[in-house]
Amino acid sequence: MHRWMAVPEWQWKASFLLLPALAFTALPASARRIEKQFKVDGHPMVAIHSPNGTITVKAWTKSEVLVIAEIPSDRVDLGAVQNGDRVDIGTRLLTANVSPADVHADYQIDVPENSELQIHNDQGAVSVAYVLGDMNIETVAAGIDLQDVAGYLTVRTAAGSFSCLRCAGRIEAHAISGNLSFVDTRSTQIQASTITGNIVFSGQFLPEGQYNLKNYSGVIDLRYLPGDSFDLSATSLKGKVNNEAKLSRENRSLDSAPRGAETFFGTLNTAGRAHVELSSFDGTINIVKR
Amino acid sequence: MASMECKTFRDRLDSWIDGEKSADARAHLAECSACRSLAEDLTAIASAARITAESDPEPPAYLWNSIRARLDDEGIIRQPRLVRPECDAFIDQLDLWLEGARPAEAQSHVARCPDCQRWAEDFAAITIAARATDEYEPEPPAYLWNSIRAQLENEGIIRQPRLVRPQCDAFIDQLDLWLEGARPAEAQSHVAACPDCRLLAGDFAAITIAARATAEHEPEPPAYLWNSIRAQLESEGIIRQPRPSVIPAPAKPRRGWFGLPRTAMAGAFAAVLAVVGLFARGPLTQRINDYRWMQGTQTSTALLTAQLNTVEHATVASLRSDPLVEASLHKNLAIVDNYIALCEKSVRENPQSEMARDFLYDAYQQKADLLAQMNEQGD
Repeated sequence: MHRWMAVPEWQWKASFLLLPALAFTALPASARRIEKQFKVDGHPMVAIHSPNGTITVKAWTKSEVLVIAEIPSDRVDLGAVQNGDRVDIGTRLLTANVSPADVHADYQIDVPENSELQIHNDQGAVSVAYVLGDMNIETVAAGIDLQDVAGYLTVRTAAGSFSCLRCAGRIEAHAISGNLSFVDTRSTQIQASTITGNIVFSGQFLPEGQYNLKNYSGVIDLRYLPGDSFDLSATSLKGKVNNEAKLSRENRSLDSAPRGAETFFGTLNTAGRAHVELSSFDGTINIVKR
Repeated sequence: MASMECKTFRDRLDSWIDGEKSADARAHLAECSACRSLAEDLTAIASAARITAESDPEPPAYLWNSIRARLDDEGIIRQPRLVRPECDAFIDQLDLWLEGARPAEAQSHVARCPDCQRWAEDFAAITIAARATDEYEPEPPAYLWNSIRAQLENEGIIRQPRLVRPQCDAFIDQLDLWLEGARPAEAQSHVAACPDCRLLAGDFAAITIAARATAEHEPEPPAYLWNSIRAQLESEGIIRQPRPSVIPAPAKPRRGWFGLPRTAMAGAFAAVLAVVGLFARGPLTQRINDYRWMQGTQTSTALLTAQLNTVEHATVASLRSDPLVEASLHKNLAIVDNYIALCEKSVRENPQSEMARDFLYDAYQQKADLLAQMNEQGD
């Protein structure tokens, strides 16, 4: 007979009862869920400050802000206060000595679609969808995903990457080592810069739109459709410019360009031109057909 | 009265420009539009040149050489110096002579020709003075020190320890010596004990190193400095004035191109050069402009760099954050610093490039933004 088979029956039963109890005691580390709801009118402003964790913001049709926080540690709590149409949401420390892991909190926030957002997140991720108000987002290492948003969008991140899918309005995005991506955007003005990251633009060129993409050492990909219309200036001070577009008035390495720089100036189609300026210090600029 | 021929008129053109307007010359101009146009143009140039000459008596010697060489190259002027082929050959080799080359023919020519001897001596003296000027500039001038310190104090970036602690005051009084490497025992012990003075000494040492590095990259002294050096050397009798004695003094002021006085010719050359310069930027003009752009860029960025460095010291010291976030911030700060260094190098290599300067200013902006972000972490 095997040794385990010698365990008395009452011990088996006791262990079956204890296991779920033990599992339940372990839950608060991952399952403390806090909800708060705020009625707002007009043009709400929602500010979210979280040092660590994910922030997911979505628009809904109610005139309310709903905050659902999942906080593993009992040393921190959800801090959310309302002052008129302004709602401040953050992670509140309950004790003085809190480890970096303790401040982890994941937020899901539903807001009216015309809400203005201010988001600060050091590490984790920020995701915003369907919000049509202005927004200002700052992160250190957290990635930022915007989808179907509009307004005046300003984004600044050190190491995080930024992705903008079907965004509209005016966009300013600056990173240091993060990548920037603009896909199917309908923006009249985009200013994007990164030092070592890459930039991809595969959006619409609106009439009289301004698109300035600048990096130091990464790759800038500008993807266009044959029917797009824009004036292009692309210069890489010490790197390369690869151009597939059939530009009129095309010139390469013009006298006015900096010494040693590789430069393209020209126009693609003439109806309703947008203005595109691509500049890189020693990165590569690719102007390619979609 | 029979009118003179074009050739005859042009042979006497210098007299016409000098105001000797003979009747037959007038008659010729009345019927020859080409000569009339030429005479009008040259009279206008001579007039402009005289005005220029009154305010700026002489361009510096190297400018003469450069202008003449360029005009020679482009076939715009004839070469009057062919009058004495040996002198001409020597002057062509003057650069080598000044660098120390002493071919036998050049030596024998200099021994025989007092004019070329003086040319060689004068240019050697100017070259030595210019090199000495280039090497001189051990540290930023006093007013710059004062200005930087005052600005930093005004903005509260550095504290004013000397108002509080006499020992700090004494150390700051001796800061110049400290930065030059002197390390008296009291100063050393004070710096070891006083974080304010340690920070101050560190900052100013960094500024000094940056200033020296900047000084080493100055390509050459600007034109006004050449003039100033020559004037000073002449006033002190260190060099003689070569030009009036190169060719035995004529009865009238020395004539050059179309008989214009040399000072007037200088103005004419300048006018021609200005026109030519619109189409082709010569290497000399470019170097002077590079220097000016570099000066402007340095002026606008020196204080900014000092401020950013000071803020960086304070910010990094007070940074309290998640280790991963801190690591990310430090890594990105290093990226920005590297970016700044490469942009500065690019601006030094090509000071007139607006794009290079834009990248540099953008790099500073990135650093300021990142420091602000780091500062928020420390709050």
